[in-house]
Amino acid sequence: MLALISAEFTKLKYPPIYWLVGFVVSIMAALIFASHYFDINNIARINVDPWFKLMTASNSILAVFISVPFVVLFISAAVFIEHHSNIWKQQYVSPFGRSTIYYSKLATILLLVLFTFILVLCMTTLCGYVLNIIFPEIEFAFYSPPFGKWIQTTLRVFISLLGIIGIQYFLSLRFKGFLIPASIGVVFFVVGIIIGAMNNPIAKFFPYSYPMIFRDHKMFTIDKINITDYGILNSVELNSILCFVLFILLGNVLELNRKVD
Amino acid sequence: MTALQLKNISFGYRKNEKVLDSVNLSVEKGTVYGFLGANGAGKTTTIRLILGLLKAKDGHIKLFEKDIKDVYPKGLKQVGSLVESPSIYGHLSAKDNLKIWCKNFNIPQSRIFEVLEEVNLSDTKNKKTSNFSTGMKQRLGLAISLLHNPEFLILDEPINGLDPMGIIEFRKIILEQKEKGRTILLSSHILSEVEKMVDRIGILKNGKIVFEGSISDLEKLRQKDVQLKIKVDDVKRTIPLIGERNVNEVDRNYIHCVIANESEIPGLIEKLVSEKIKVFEFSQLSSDLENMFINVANE
Repeated sequence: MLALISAEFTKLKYPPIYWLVGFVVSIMAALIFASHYFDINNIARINVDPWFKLMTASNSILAVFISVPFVVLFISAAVFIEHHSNIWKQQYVSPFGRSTIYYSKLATILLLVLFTFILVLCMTTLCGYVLNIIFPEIEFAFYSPPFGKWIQTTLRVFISLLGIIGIQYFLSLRFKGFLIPASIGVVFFVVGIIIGAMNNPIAKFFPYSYPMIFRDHKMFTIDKINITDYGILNSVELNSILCFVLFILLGNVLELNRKVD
Repeated sequence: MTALQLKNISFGYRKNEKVLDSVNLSVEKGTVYGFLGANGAGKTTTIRLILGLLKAKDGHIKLFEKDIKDVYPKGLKQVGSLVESPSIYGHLSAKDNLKIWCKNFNIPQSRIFEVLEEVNLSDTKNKKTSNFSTGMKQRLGLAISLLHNPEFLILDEPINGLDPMGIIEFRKIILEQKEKGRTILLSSHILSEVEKMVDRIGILKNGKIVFEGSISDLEKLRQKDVQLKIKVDDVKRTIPLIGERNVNEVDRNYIHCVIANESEIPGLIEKLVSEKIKVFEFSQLSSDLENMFINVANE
């Protein structure tokens, strides 16, 4: 399985994927930089750790606006490579078994999404230090970045995305082109934002809303959605995991029985 | 030892449809088997069944004398395949494409250079494969199938779309693989090309094997019948003289027919002349595999 995952990484030397990851990392850094640069008077406070504000802003922008379209486009592109190269038949006549191929591709996707989030974290940290050069009064250099907390919240963004990852992986395998799964994902993303922003309880059952409601990003009111906290995870995060498991298992069953052209 | 054996294989994509009807064939280890048939005869379907891409409704498939159901998918380690067009990542180089399969099979990357050498692609190993010609893509597809050193190669229409030079080059590679002792199943409808590579052939027609045997069996058939091409002024009057059963094809003023023996030719010409039929052309066709194939397929 590890060998197959390593091979999957070689396949992803695909320019659109590089561009997508590069775009997400750059846009996140640019937004964080701009939000601090143009609002420096509100941000620079004596004896207040500026990293927490930066971390919160970064994770909120990532969760609400960036992560869903990124995951939708990324998964559609990663699976599209296989369809476009007419590779399934060659893969499925190799001695590994369809499930192994299916899960190794999924594992690669999960790892690369996480890797992109780590890159975002690194770039936004770098933004903090660059801002400190321009505005020393902001005191980014005086405090240490709260990496432990930051990684923890980033992981929670990732968990809230699992449902969408499951659905998009399922759709990308079912439809041969790039456009159909990507379009479905983008439409659902917009619907998810609308439902979440409207404070509609349905959002709890609509995975494309999860990244914006799994915690209060202080962008919209979400009090009517009734999220139950179970300690480590809350009900939205649990729904996301359940949705992921459901779609991944269903996808595997269908893949085992797929007639390959 | 039998590398592959198909026993009473039947398959249809829909209920009551029979794309394959009780297909039996066997490929001996170390031989090259030509699997022939017109487009739509069921060759690719048969290959997909052998490789486990489809499941047969009836019958048994044995790979190295073990039922494919018992050894699938691990048993495919002994098999290298190229099913129709090669599966290649166009955004990667030939070397990177092979690197993927090296990682998959857990084999050292030094093997990449060996197979590239075998298929004459060493000079273009770093070129993006989307810029490859059809022949280069086919050779890379073959390199992928050879990478894990399989005992058995299954190649579905590997010379499809190749120019004459490409066909010659591909044939050379196949013959080199044969010399190395690999068993090869080669499907094609370009019969004259297959004839030069194979030890045994099987002809598939409408999902049924209509001929199976060695090249020498085919030679015997070849000696048995004489193929004629006759151009006359009155086709309608000529056909009964030749015998309707012997006529294969009528194309305007040309009649393609078969007679049992060369000695019948003078008598036939005399008969046509005595009936005042004007004969413009009377030629004996070389009875190569192409003609044999047409005969067998028409029977």
